[in-house]
Amino acid sequence: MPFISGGGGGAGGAISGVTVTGTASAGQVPVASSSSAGQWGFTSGYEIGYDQITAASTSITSTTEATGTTVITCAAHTFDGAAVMVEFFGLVEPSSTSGIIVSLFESSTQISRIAELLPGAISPGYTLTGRFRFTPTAGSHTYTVTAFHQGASNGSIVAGSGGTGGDPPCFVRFTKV
Amino acid sequence: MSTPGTELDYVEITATVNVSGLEAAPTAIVDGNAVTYDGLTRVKVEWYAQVVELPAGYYDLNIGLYEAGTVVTLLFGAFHNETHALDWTAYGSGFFTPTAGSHTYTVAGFRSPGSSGSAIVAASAQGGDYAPSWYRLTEA
Repeated sequence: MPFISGGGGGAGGAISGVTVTGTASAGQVPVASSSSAGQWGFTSGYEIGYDQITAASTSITSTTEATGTTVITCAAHTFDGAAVMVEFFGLVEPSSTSGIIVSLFESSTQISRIAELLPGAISPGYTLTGRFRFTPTAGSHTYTVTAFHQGASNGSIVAGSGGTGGDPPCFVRFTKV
Repeated sequence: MSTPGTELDYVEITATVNVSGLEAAPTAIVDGNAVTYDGLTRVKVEWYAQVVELPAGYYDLNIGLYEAGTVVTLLFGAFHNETHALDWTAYGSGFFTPTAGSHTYTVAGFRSPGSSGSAIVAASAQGGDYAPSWYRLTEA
C-alpha cells in the first residue's frame, strides 16, 4: 500500500489509510481527526501573523481603556477557528506612579488586557511581555494593540530596528496552539 | 516522534491568588493535569500572569514548577524594596525532560523569610480586569 495515494486539491488523498480532504493552504500539513479521516491544518507554533513597529517612541496619551492609544495596527490575518497564542513584546517607559496597560482589541471590542506595568515609585524602563490564549473565529481578523495610562503623566513605548546599540521592534505575534 | 510546539497541558486560573507561603510550603497558583510522558521528550514549561504585585517594602518572590512538593525548575523571580507596591506582567519558562509515566505538576510561589505580607497573582476570566493566568507544557 502506498504511503500516499489518491489526488489532492479537494479530491481527497489517503496517507497510510487516512483520507485527507480539503484543499491545503501554504504552510498546512495533514492532521488526522481519526484513524481514517483528516484535514489540512497548521502545526502547533505556526506563525499566523506577526506585526511590529520600529518608531522610536510612541507616547501613550490616552487615559481611557476603551479608546487607548494605538500601539500596533495589525494586518488582516486569517485564522482557522482553533486556539492561538498572542504574544506582545515592548520596551515600556511609564511615568512615575502612572502605569501602562496594554490590550488587544478588534475594532472597538476589547479581547483582553495582555500586559501591565505600574511601577509605583520611579519611572524606569521595563521589558514588557504579554501572552494570551484565545480562539478567534475562522476567517480574517484585524487586531489592534492599544495602551492607556492611569495617572497624570504619559508613558511611552520605545522601539527601534535593532542593530548595534539599537532598540528592538515592539511586536505582536499570533501562533497556532 | 516529538513534534516541537505540541501542547501537552494547558491550565488557566481566573481568580486572583495571594502568595504568602515560604519556600518549605509554597502557595499553589495553578494545578496542572495528569499527563503521561515517554521519558524521552524534552518539554517547555511556561507560566504567565498579566499582573503580579509585590507589596510595598522589602519583598522577594519566587515562582516555580513543583511535583508533589519538590521543585522541578524555578520559573520567575522578582525582588524590590520600594515605598509603593509594584505591579507588572510576569512570564517565565524552563525546559526539562519528565521521566516516563504520569506526572502532575503545580505552579507555586513563595516569599523569602524577610518579606512581609502577600504578593498577588492577579487573574480574571477573559474580558475582566485581568487576563487569565496560565501554565502550559509543550514539546520542546
